[in-house]
Amino acid sequence: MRRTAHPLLVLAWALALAAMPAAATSPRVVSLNPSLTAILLALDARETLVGIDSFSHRQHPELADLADVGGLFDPGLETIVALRPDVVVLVPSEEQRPLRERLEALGVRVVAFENIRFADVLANIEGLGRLVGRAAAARARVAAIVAERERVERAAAARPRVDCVVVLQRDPLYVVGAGSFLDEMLAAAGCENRGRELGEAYPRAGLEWLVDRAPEVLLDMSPDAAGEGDVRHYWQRWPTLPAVRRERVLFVAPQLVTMPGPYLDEALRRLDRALRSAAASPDGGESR
Amino acid sequence: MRVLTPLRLVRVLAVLVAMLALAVVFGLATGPSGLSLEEVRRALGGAGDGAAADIVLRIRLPRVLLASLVGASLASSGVVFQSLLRNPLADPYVLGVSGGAALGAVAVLSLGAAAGLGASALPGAAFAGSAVTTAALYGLARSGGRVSPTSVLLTGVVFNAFASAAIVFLASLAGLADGARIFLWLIGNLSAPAFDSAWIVALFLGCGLAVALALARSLDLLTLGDESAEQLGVDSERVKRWLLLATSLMVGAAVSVAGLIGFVGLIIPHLLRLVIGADHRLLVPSAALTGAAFLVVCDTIARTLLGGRELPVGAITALVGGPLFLWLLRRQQTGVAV
Amino acid sequence: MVVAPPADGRGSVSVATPALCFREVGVSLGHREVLRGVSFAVRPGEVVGLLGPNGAGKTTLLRAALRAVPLAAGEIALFGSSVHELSRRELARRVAVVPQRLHVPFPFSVLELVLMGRAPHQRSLGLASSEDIARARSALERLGIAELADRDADRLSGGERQLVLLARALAQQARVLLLDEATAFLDLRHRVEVLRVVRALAAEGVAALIVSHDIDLAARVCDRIVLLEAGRLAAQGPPVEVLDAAVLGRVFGVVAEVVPGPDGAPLIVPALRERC
Repeated sequence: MRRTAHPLLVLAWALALAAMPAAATSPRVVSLNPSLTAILLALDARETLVGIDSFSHRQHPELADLADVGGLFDPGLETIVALRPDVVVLVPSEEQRPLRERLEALGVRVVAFENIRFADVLANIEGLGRLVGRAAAARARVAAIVAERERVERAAAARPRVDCVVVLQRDPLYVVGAGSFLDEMLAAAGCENRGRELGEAYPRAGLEWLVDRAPEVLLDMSPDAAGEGDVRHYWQRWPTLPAVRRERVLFVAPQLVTMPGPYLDEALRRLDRALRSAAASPDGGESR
Repeated sequence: MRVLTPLRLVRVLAVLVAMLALAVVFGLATGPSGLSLEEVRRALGGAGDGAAADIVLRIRLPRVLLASLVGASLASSGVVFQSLLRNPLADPYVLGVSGGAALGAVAVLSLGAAAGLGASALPGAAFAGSAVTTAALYGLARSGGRVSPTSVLLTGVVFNAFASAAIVFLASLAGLADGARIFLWLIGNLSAPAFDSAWIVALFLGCGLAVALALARSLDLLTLGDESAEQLGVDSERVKRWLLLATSLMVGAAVSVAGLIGFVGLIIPHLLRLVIGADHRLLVPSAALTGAAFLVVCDTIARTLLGGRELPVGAITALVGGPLFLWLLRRQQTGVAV
Repeated sequence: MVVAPPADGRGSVSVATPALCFREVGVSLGHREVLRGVSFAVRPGEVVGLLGPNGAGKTTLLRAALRAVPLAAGEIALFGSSVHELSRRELARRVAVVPQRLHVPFPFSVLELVLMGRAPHQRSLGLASSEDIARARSALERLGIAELADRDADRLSGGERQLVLLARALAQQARVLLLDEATAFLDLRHRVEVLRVVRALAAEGVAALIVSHDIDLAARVCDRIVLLEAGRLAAQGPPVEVLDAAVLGRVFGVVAEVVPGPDGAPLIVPALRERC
């Protein structure tokens, strides 16, 4: 990429490049989080990636040729620095805080992207877009998501809201709580998320709470869930739940929906479809 | 006069059984869904409405049962460890034996799928882990025939560090979802809904307790030293082997089903010695009963304190047990009998 | 206290079955030969003192009798049966040990500790019968420490603890008593108390073997002295015969004068001042 010429000229050029903001045409990016990797891929910025974390690798086998900079507990500081990235992108977390501090101390530019709320994710798409010179694509993606959300909200307004609980893990029981992008998407799709009352974003709930709250709809997005049939079969063990009695136990493939990534419009579509089918199913008759 | 007579044995155990019964009632009657005592009673009698019956019989009851079994296992192994190692600070958690059991279980959780091992292999794997760790601990902590308290605790610290590192390693190999699940399992969880896990724990606990009770007199004698015990007719090596087997069984079963729950094996024996003395024929069954009651209460708090949210039971036992333990330590240091 | 030593004790084993008999005993620890060719016997009713400098093998000999160390050669017999033919419980019913020290890490009461001495006679769960408790109490009374019965055993003075251990040995009802430097850390009063009781037990037919560093007291209380030097028997016989200046000089490397004491047994007076 650089023409070899007089050493001084090269030096001048290198200095100039270093002085420019890293949002150049094709910056070298290291991604430490699969959701950010997903966004970059969606923005067609694969060429900017020089290194990704282990989980991103697992999710994207097609990126096998990229350097592996380790996972949450075993980050490869040396590997990252050796790649001479222009910017390292990550999601703020306690586990990666020491790594972040070390990188910044070594003069590596680190940009953090919080991804808890729906608006955060949209901001991330736009932020990453600007970072890698794909601002236009980013704006388009965000617009598509926003449009889909509005469509879903309108559709949901036309039917009654349903009491629901969304399971993220079966044992121990973890559900979607309050304040996450997932919670917001559920609200947009017409869900009265009972998990909200537990306060936290992804709280550990008690089985007793679940049976007591008796949601009308149960959405199982746990890693063990293997499809519609499996999910219905599993939750048969709690036949007192209205969701089970009225066959409103739903399954949505978690990978796309639980990722705070670039395809939230598709996530919203799937949630909407699932909840619409729940609203349409025959009413069992008794209410709790 | 503090000598163990059959009458004293029966009296103390009767009191402790009553205490356990109270704890069980507390556990069955308490929970975040605010069922009234009347509703609980009806559910127990089989007449309750659907949700109440589910909550009382299928959620609370199995948990209370499991907590009793796990608490009994941890407390009685604590007694045996402390006596075998002649060290009041020994307990399966501190000594890394629980860690070893957890490592065995995590190995199955993370690598087992590849080897065709499912969840049913967990108790066996945990038992193997605890047995290996116990044997190694005892072997390493002895030198020149004497087991010094310091070397025991140090060895335990090292074992814990090793087990933790190995578990983190295995968990990171396992991928995001499985790795997270492993960590969640590790922090202690009594909500396993299946009843068959209770059978395994009950079986292992029963065998372990039977051995410990049969050898309780020898345990008394062993606390004075191997040679001292032999001079009174005890076959030290044989007794120690059986007791180590018993504790491995009990700890392995408890950890495989409930993850890591600390302090039970440490606090209960201490408290009991303060109150009823050091005679193991009374101490072992008392520890089982008291440990059961303690864990039932802690677990009930863990699942009720924050409304619908559940705290890990290990956090409650640590919150209650930690300060209690420091208080006991202080008493010991200032010369008051422990 | 009157010492009444029997007339002869030197040389080989006497005709009546001795309580404890060592015959050509040899013990090696690692590659080191610690004991060699040790032969002597303790008869019922006899108090034998096992003396010798540090490292002579006294404690090892005791431990060999308890099967705590293996024999490389020879035999140890208890009332005619080899100790290796007896089970641990049978051995414990016949031989009781009072060690130098005992660490009690848990709050057993004195009575509970003494009751542990009954263990070789009890069945496996061993709940104390009224007979057991009576024996334990009378042992404490005999030693004048009945009032300590309910005290925590880990909070006794050294002297009290040794008396408790002796009481435990009494409760064991063994016919052979081994004292392994049992009076080492005791004050004079407690030392005298322990040895007085040992003598009284001997009068009842118990055979006692006392390992001690206190030659003076051994001279007072023992019927016979067995002197070990570097793992071998250097001498054995009544104190007046064994403990003379020549022996003390040769075996202990001590210059001393030996004079007859008021009770008939020798008094040892070591030369402490510098020779001028």
